[in-house]
Formats: sequence, C-alpha cells, structure tokens
Amino acid sequence: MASTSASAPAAAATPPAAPAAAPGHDIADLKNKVYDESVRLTEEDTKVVFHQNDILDMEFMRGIDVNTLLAIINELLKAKLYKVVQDADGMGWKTRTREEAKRYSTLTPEQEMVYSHIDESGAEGIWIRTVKMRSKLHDSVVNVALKQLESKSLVTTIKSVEHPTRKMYIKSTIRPSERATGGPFYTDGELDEEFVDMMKRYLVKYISEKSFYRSSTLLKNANKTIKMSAEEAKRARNNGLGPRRQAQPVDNARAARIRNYESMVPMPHGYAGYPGVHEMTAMIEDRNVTNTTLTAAEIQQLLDVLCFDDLIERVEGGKEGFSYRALRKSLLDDEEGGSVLTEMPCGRCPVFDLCEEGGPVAPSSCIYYNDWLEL
Amino acid sequence: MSRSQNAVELCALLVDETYGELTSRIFTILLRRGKLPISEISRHTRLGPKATRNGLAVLIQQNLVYYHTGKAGPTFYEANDGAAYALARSGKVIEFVESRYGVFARDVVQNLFLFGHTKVSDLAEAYASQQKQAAKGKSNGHPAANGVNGHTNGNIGSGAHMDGLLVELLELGLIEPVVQRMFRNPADIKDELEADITTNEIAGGSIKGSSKKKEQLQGILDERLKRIEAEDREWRSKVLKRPLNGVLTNGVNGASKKRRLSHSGSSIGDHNYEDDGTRLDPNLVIRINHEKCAVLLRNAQLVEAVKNKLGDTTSQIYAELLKHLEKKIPRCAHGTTEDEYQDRPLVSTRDVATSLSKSVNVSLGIGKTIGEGPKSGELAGPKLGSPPVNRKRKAGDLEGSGSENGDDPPINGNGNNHEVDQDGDDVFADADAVKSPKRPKVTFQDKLPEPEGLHSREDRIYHIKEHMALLADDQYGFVTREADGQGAWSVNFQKVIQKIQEAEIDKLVLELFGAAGHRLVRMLRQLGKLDEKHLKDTTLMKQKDIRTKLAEMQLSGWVDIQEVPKDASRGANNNRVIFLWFFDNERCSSLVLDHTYKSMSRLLHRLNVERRRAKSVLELTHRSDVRDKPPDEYLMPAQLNELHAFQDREDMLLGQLGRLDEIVGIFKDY
Repeated sequence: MASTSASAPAAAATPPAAPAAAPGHDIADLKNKVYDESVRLTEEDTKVVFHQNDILDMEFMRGIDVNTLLAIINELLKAKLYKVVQDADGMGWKTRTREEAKRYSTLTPEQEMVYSHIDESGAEGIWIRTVKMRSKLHDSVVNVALKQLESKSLVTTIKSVEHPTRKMYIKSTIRPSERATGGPFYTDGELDEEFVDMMKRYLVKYISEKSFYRSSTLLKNANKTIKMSAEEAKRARNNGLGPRRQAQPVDNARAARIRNYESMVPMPHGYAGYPGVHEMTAMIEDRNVTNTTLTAAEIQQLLDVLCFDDLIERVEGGKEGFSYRALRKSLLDDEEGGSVLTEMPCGRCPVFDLCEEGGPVAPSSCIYYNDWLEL
Repeated sequence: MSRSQNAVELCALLVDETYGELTSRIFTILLRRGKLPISEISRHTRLGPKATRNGLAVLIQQNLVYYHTGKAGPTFYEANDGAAYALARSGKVIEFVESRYGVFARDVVQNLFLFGHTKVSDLAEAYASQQKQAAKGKSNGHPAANGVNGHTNGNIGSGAHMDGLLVELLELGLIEPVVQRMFRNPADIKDELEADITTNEIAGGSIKGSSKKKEQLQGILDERLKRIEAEDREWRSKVLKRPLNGVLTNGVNGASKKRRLSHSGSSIGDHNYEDDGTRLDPNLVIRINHEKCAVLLRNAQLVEAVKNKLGDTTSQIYAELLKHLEKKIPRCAHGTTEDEYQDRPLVSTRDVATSLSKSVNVSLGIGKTIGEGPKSGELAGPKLGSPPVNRKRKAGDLEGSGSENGDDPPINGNGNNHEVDQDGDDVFADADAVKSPKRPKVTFQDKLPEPEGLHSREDRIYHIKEHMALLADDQYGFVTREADGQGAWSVNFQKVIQKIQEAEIDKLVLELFGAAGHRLVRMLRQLGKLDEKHLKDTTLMKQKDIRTKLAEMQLSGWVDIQEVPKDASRGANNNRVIFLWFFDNERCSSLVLDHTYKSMSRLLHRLNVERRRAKSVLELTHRSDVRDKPPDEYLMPAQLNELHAFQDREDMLLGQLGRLDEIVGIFKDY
C-alpha cells in the first residue's frame, strides 16, 4: 500500500478531525471522519492496521457503541475505502485511497478478488499461479478476470528477473521494483552485458590511470631490452624463414605495448590517490558516461566483479577508507601471460584423459604435437 | 610425491632418459610394488641377478633407491621418487650455478649430477680427465645425456680451485656431505626413532590414547631428528688448513665474491677461485642437496612473480633480499608451525642495501606522488610540502642514527598530509614523511638518469625502503615487516607460494574456460560455497551462462556441487534441495599437478619417438670417428637439415619440460 497515501491529496490536506461528540450518530459523517483520521495515521506509518479498538479510541468516537461502529465500517468497506486484513491481533482494516476505491467499485467480485491480490503484491508483482491459488477461483475465471483488468489497463504483465519463466502481473500505476527488473544492468528483464562490459572497461581505465606512474627513464630503457614471448619468438623465426615483412606492424604495436607495460611502475606505499567507490560514482555521474543513474551500490557491484576478474584490487587507504587500484596485468592483453601448461598441446588437449602410449590417442601419433613441433 | 599413475610413469621415464633402460626397469618395479628384496626384484623384472645388482648399484649411486638391511633377513630396496623427479630439475640447478658462480662451477656441479654422490678426490680426478679429453679435442655430442655432457673449455681444473668452490657451495648448502642415513627412507628412520623413544624414554611403553605422551614423543622426536640432521650437515671439520672464522667471513661478507649474472658467461677468468689454502678432506663424500636446490629455485620463482606484479627494479631488490635469506633456509618447509613462524630468518634493509649491485638503479620503478592536491600521478601540479632542502640529511647521519626504525618525529610531523599512514605504523610514516622533501631531486633524476655513483648512500637506502614497503604492501605479502624496530624483514614463503598457486590456477582456468569461468572460480574461492542465484547477482552474468560454465567446469573437476536438503525427505522434489557450488583449492592443485606430470611424461614419450625417427642421422653423429667434428663437416645437406629439425624439436620438448617443472615446483616442492 505504498501508493495509498501519495495519491490522496484531499485527505492529506484535511486537518485532524476536531474532537466533537456526535449526538445524532451521523454515520456518513462519522464514516468520513474515521476515514480521514485513518488516512492521516496511515501517512505516518504505511503499515498500520486498524483494529476495532483503534477506531473506538479515536477521539471523536467517544460514546459510540459497537453497533454503530459496525455500521460505519460496513459503509467504509462498501465504499472500498477499507479492506479487511488478518494479522496477529485478529481482524483489522487498512485504508485505501479514494482513487483506488473508485477503481475497485467498478469491478465485478471476481475481478476484485484478482485485482486485490495483484494490488497487495505491490511493486514486486505476483505470479499468475499464486493468484489462482490464493483466490481459489477456477483457472478460466481468473484468466477472464485478468483479461478484463488488462483491457481496463489496471494491470500489466512484467518480466521478473528472478523468475524469468513466470508470468507476472503488476498494477499498471506503479513501476516494478528493482528486484523484479534487476536494476540498471537489466533491460527488459535481460542482463545487458554490453552495458556492464562498457562500464567495467570505463572503470578499469579510470582506475589504472590513477594507479600507475609512467616512468620516462624506463620507457627509454625498455626500447633496448624488449623480451620476446614464446609466440613472438616463433613469429620472428617464421619471419626469418617464411614470408617476410608481413607481421612487422603487428610486432611494432606489440613492442610498443610491452614498452608501455614495462614503463608503468607502481605508486609508492602510502599513495592516497587510488579512487574509492564514491569518487567513481561521482565521476560516472559528472562525465555523463551513461543515461542511467548508477548508485554507489551499483558501482560497488561492478568493482566487485572487476576484483573477481583480477583486474583491480581493493586496498586500504584513500579518502574513503577503501580504494581500488589496478593490477599491472590489466595493462596486458588476454593472450599474453598465459599459463605454461596451456602453451603446449597437452594443456588444452580435448582428449587428454584418453592419452596413453599404445592407446587410441598417444604422444607418438599426436596431431597436436605434430603441429606444435613443426611450429 | 603422490604416487599417482602419472607420477610413476614420469619418474620411470626420467630415469630411463638419464640412465637407460636397465635402471628404469628396476626402478619402475620398485615404484609400483614398494619395498622389495633383491630376489623379488629380479623375479619381477625378469633380469638376471647380475644385471639386477648392476642396475641397483647405479640407482644407489644416484640415490634413486633407498636400501635397508633389517636386523635379520635380506636387504630391502625402495624407490626414492623424489630423487627421480629431481632429475628433471638438474638443468635448472646447473643453470643457476652457472649464473652465480660461473662456468667452472657449472662443470663441477654437472659432474656431481652425473656421478650421484662422490668423493671429493674422485670429482677432482674426473675433472682432470675431462680436461685431458678436452685438450685432445673431445667435445660434447651426446644428445641423450640430458644436459650432463661436459663442456670443458677452461684450463683451471686444479684441485685448489675446486676446493674453494666446493667450500662455497657447501656453505650455501647446495651440496652436502653424504652420510649413511641418506640411503634410508627418512620415514623409516623416523619410525625407528619413534619406536626407540617409546620403549626407552617414555614410561609406560604404550602411548595410545594419551595425547600428553604423544606430544612428549613428538617433542623428543623432533629434537632428535634435528640433532641428527645438524650432525650430518657438519662438514666444517673436514676443511683443512683454514680457520673456521675465515670460512664464515667468506660466507657473510663475501660481497666481492658474489657472482653476478651480468658478469657470468663468457670466460672463466672472471671467477678467481684463488688458491687461498682451503683444502677439503679428499675422502669427503658429497652430493647435490636437492632440498636446497628447491629453495634456490623457489627464490627465482618468487622474483619472477614480483617482476610481473611490481616491476623489474623491485624484483632485483627482492632477489637480493632472498639471497640473504637463502643461507638460513635449509629446505622449503611444509606445514609451518607457530614456532617456526617465530624463528623465520630475518634480513635488514641495510644488509640488502650493502650487497645490492651498484648497477641496479633503485630510484626507478616506483611512481612519484605529487602531494595530496592533484590526485593524478601523471599531471604536473603544485608540489605540496616540498622544501628544497633535504631535511633528512639535516636530521643527522643516517647510518649513525639508525633511521630505519623511524626515530625522527620532527620530520614525521612536518605537515605532509599522508592520511593513509594514520594507522600508527611510524616506520612507514617516516618513510612517507621523508618523501616530500626529497621529491624534487628524485623527479629530476627520473628525467635525467645519472650514473649510479651519484646516488648517495642515504638515497639508496631510502629508495630500497620504498621498494620494501611496496613488497610488503602487495596482496601477495612478499615480505613481512618484523616488529623489532630495526627495519628487519622476513618472508612468509608458504603464504606467498599459496598466492602464486592460486594465480597459476586462475591463469589456467582463464585459458580453459574464459573470463566467465575465471570470474566464477575466483568468486567461489573468496566467498565459499554459493547458491546459483547468489552467483548470478554477484557476477553480473546471465544465469543460463553461469549454469553452463559451472557444469563444464564440474565435468573436468574444477568446481563441484553440494546438495543440501532442506528436510529429511530426499525425494525428487528439487525445491527442497539447495545446490551449493564450491571450489576446492587443494583438489585443483592436485589436479594441476597430475596434469603437469602427465604432460611431462608425454613430452618425454614424444622425445623418444622423435629420436627414433631421426635415428639414422643421430647414429651418424654418434660414430666414434666423427664425434668430435662439427656435424656440418661430414653430413649431407639433407641430413644436416634433418639433424637441425630434430634438434629444434628436442629443444622445444626439453624446454617445455623445464617450464612445466616450474609448475610442479609451485604446486609441490616450494
């Protein structure tokens, strides 16, 4: 009922009912008073449930007997301004806004039952099967009711991220919750991997700009001592033997990258310039990186993923207590710095488990070895 | 060594590769069947008694087989798989020795590898005879001998040089004197001692059920083992004509004797093993100490890791630090207890600074902060708190004041706002506080690198301290600061190796399963057992992708799943079961290790196949009449091509073998 109070401006404007004994027991008047008072209380605490005694304790209800109360409540229920709830203290009532009440009053009893379940589920939405189960109505009745409600545009279907296969309904007046939509990283109930990747790349770039120092001396020195990786050595040898000059530009690009890598040195101990979550949240906002607003919690989520990807690490220190720094290997490409085991065919052999001298797959006849040894 | 099938196969192949088929047959039987008396060995190998005895003699010589004669009954033989595996590592040890002690040392160590354990006099003789051969023009040319063929191109070879070198190696622990104990399985010795202690020293005989007695037993046992070991390692009494002090000084301040990588190489002349009167007892029997080799190779591995994580300069300083520690570490201990943690060897910043080669420019390799104002290291901005005067020098003579323990409060409080250092570690605070005053100078040097001589000693120590802080700061925890106030450092090897293991597993997973698998594995490692839903939220991946990836990894054993039923009924109702994914580091380590063993044995298999294929050419080169000539003199061009093709492949296979050995080291020995 989060929306109840927001959409009742009339009730909100009404000052608390003046204490006045109603001699004639004007039920219509009392009804309004009780309703206004309960709306006021609901505004204070949206979860409030009114029990019989709560209503009788209202100041203007002094001297009113239970039968009158019954009449009042019946009126309220008939007008759909009240709805019955059960809680630990027995039966009680909650308020509805006048607008909602108007909507309810146009519905058939079946529609009303279905609608009330959808209403209660709030921003989370409700699964169609749950509706059927709770209302104990026949499937077809529920389906008809839902169709009618949809045509009146009172309810809409949504896709929930948590239960992608379930058909969920939600009131059309409210926006589905983040739990249902999955937050800013989801589009139409699907994870937007492109977006996530883009944000991750952006963050890594930002962090690594603040994590390294480019040493000009090392940059110069690096020119002289560029180490060749196994692959590059292979390529160089191929160049020497086979077609020439083709791989040259690639090599240069790679050499430049290695040079760059070698010249990037870590910041000294105690360096306080590593960025923290809030700094990055503000940065993303300021630079208009994306239309979607990302909260600090969501940036944190991205940073955690980056930590798990082993591209950055969390360090103590910085203005926010914790900050993030890029790891050196984030400067390298994926292909570089692989494992020794996967350099050779056995490391990535799909039939390694079968490999046995004398078996169907054997080192002596291994085609992967042939390729590898021929270079 | 875990006796997996692959490990056994690899050991057998290694023995075969180095010592031939006879030995490997016996060795394999011993590996597969455990302890056997000689009659059983010859029965299983179907070898005659004479051949068996010959084979066993070779194996014992190489310490590949333990033997033990009980009080009554036959002698039992048992395979020493650790020593067999060490064969794969010999090349690396030789390389290490060459890079530090030069070509002459390499030859000596090579001979030691070839002979197994040997008397000093025999070693000298062998060297001398090799010299003669070399003089006659005999050179290498026996490709099967896996790096143990003698390149002898020097003319030093006198016993005195050899003794000097051997003393140095003994000092380091790379070679050790051989004693009777080494021919028995260490586990046997321990059992025997345990039995002895139980019967003789602990009242009551039986120790079952009494944890107190068990503790007591363990205590006595450890002490005795240590004592035995210490006795065994005692070799100094065998050094003749040289005072004990001299030996020690040689070990500690032998900075002049430190052979650097840059100097090693071409000529032996660089290494003057001057005849300083050192003589070893010619009857002393020595052998290579494989445990120590592992320590030395581990250091190389750690340095490599630092180089990748932090950069070249820092790694050079780390190498120096480890060099200081290596003498105090006899082996890569496993399962460190609390006490051992306490007595980890220390090294001080000053020691590192003293021995660090002057060719290392310590001012490089660390970024410069420009105050607190601009947050970027690259942008030039107003330099806060950087008076041009060198405050540190004013504060007093650095060496005298022992400034490593940061007793300089005025500097600490001179307005450098390094808020990170508020954690009360004043040593670090001091280091940082000093940073600003020095900055202008440092920046200048970065732009115009000057010869090393211009660096003052204080500057060097300051820079080295910075590098140390960086090492300590890293996630891997390469060094640990000791709280003795003297700027001492120690290294928690277990922890660092553990991190390197994890990194190695990560690399492998990244390559086998892509970024997604890598992310999942790292997450499961850090967060423990996780539900799929939770995984989805944290990884920002599609549930479908996660499930596929996890299933794929489960199939090959990298991750596993656990069912947790919500209630007692374990029916088909899936809603009532929680499925948790988890990652077991230990299991993956053994997976990687086994995979590596298997890969290594496949490499050796393939090498044999390649050798068979190139047999015709290889046989030609082995002919006695052409052995000493370079192959291009007598081979046809086609044959020469074939030979080169084979050599390329051999290099490739053996090279890869050596690299795989690093993985085995990381996961098992270090």
